[in-house]
Amino acid sequence: MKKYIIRKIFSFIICILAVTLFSFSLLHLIPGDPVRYILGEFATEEQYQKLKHQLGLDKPIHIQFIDWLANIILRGDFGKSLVKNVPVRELISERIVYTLQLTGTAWLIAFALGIPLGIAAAIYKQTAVDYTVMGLAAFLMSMPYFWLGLVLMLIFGVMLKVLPISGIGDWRNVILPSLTLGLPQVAVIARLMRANMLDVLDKDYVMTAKAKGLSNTLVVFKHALRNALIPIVTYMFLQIPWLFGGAVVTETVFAWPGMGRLLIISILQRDYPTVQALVFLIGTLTVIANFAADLVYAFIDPRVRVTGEGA
Amino acid sequence: MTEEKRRAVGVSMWKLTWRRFRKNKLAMTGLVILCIIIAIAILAPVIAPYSPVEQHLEDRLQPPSSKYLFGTDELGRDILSRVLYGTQIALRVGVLVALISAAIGVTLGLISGYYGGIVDEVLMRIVDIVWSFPSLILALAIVSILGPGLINAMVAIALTMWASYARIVRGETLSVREELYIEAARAIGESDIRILFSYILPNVMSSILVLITYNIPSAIIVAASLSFLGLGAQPPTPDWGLMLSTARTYLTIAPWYSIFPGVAIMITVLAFNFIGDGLRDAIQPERVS
Repeated sequence: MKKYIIRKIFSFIICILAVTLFSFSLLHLIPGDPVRYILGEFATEEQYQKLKHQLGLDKPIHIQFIDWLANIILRGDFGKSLVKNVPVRELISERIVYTLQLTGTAWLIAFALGIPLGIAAAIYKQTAVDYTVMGLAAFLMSMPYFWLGLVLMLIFGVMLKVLPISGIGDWRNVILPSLTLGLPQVAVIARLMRANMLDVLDKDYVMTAKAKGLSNTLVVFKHALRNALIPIVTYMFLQIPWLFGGAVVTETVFAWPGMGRLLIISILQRDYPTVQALVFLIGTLTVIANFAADLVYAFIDPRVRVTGEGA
Repeated sequence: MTEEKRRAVGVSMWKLTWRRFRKNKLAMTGLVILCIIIAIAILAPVIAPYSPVEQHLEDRLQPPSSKYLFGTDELGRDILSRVLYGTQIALRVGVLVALISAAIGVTLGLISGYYGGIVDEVLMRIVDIVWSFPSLILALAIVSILGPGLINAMVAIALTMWASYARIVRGETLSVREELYIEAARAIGESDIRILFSYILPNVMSSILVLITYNIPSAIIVAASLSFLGLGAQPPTPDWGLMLSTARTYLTIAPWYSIFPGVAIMITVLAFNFIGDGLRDAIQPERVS
C-alpha cells in the first residue's frame, strides 16, 4: 500500500512537470519565428520588438520558463491576451463557471443514467432490455459530439420547439448541451457497468449467496453491486478530463461561452498566452484526476489496500 | 481448438481467426458495409452526380429532390456528391493516422519492453501522460503549434494515439523477451533490430491489428471534430466535419444539410467498430463468455 502510493506520487510529480514543460513550449515549438507567425508578414519592426518583449522571447529560454512558472504559481498570472488586451486570467475566470456548469451536469447525467442501465442490461442479459441498451450505446458511441448536438437541436429546438438551441439563459439552455456531452458517456458507463456486473455475478461468492437461498435482489444489490462499482468509482475521476475535451466541441456547437470555446477562438487568433494557460489548466486537471483515481482505487479496493498490487 | 489440434490440422492462426470472424453476424455486417464504403470512395468520380465543388448558385439550399437527392448547400453544391467524395477523405485520414500512430507506438513499445531499465521508465511515464490526456485537447495543442489544415490535423491526431500501441507492445515484449527462442536468436548472433522486428513483432501483430481497427474510427471522429472547429480540412474540401460546421449555421432553414454528412460519419464509424469487436473476439476467443 505504502509502496503503491509512493510510486503514484512520484509519477504524479513527473506528469505535472511534463504538462508544465509542454504548455510552456507551445510557443517555442512553432516552426520558424513565433513572433513573425503571430503578427503576420506586414508587421513593422517596432511592433515586432514590442511583441517579442511582451512574450519574453528576448530573454534566455531558462529565464523565460522560470518567469512564466513563477508568475503562475505566485500570482496566478498567465500573462496578457494578445487579442483582447486583458489578463488571460480574467478571460478564463469569466468562462470557467459556464464550463463547470456544463461538465458538471453532463457528469451527473452520465452516472445517473449509465449505472442503472448497465445493471439492467447485466441482470436481463441477452434479452430485449440488454439488446436495446447495448444497441443504443453502440450508436451513441459512434456519433461525434458535434453531430449528436446538431441532431438534438433539430429534434428539440427546430421540430418540437421545446428547448432553446443555443446560447446561455435559464436552466433550459443547459439541457441540450449537457445531454450532448453526457449521452456518449452514459453509453461508456453502461457498457462498463454491464461488463463488471457480469464478471462479478460469475464469481464463487455470488454463487454461494444464491445457494444460501438469498433472493435475487439481495444478491445483486448487496453482494454483487459493491464490487462491480469499484471500477466505476475510478472512472468517475478518469472521465473528468475527457468531459473537458468534449466540452470544446459541445460549447462550439451550442455557442456556449466556456473555456473550450475560448480555446478554439484563441488558437484561431494565435493568442498563444491564452492557449498556453488553457492547455496548462486542463493538463493539470487531467493529472490530478488520474492521481485521485489511483488513490481512491487504493482505498476502496481491499486487494490493493492489503497487497499493494494493482492495475 | 487447442494449440495441438491446430497444429495437427495445419491451419494457420489467421485462417482460424477468419473462421471465427465469419460466424459473427455483426462483424460480417460491418465488413460488408466497409466494402461498400471503400467502393464508394474509389468510384466517387463515376457515381457522384455532380462535382463536389461545382456551384449552382441558382439552386442554393434546396431540399432533397430528384435533381439533388440529398439537397444542396449554401453555394448550391450537391450534398450527395460531397458526401460521396467525403468517404475518400475519411478513409484516407483514418487509415493513415492509424498506421502512423501504430508505427510510432510499436517502435517505442518494442524498445521499452526489450531494453527495460531507465529507457522503459521514461517512455512509460510519457505514455501515461499521453494516454490519459483527452485526445482532442492534445490534438488541439499540437495544431496550435503546427497551424490549421488537414495534414497538420492528421499529424496531431497520430501524435495523440500512439500510446496505446506502445503500452500493449511493451507488455507483450516483456512476456516473450525471456522465451527460449529469443535466447537462441541472440546466441546465433542476430542483431537487436532483427530480434525486435522478426522475432518479437510477429507475436504482437494480432493485438496491433485489433487496435488499428479501433483507432481508424477514432481518428475519423477526431479529424472531423477538428474540421468542424475550423482547424482541420479547409473549404472547399468535401470533408464531413467541415460540412456539418456550415450546416450548423443553416440548421433551421436547411435541416437536411445537418443530417447526411453526420449519418455518413456514423455508418463508417459503426462499421469499423463492429469489425473491431469481431476481430477482438476472433483473435482472443478465451475472452468471449
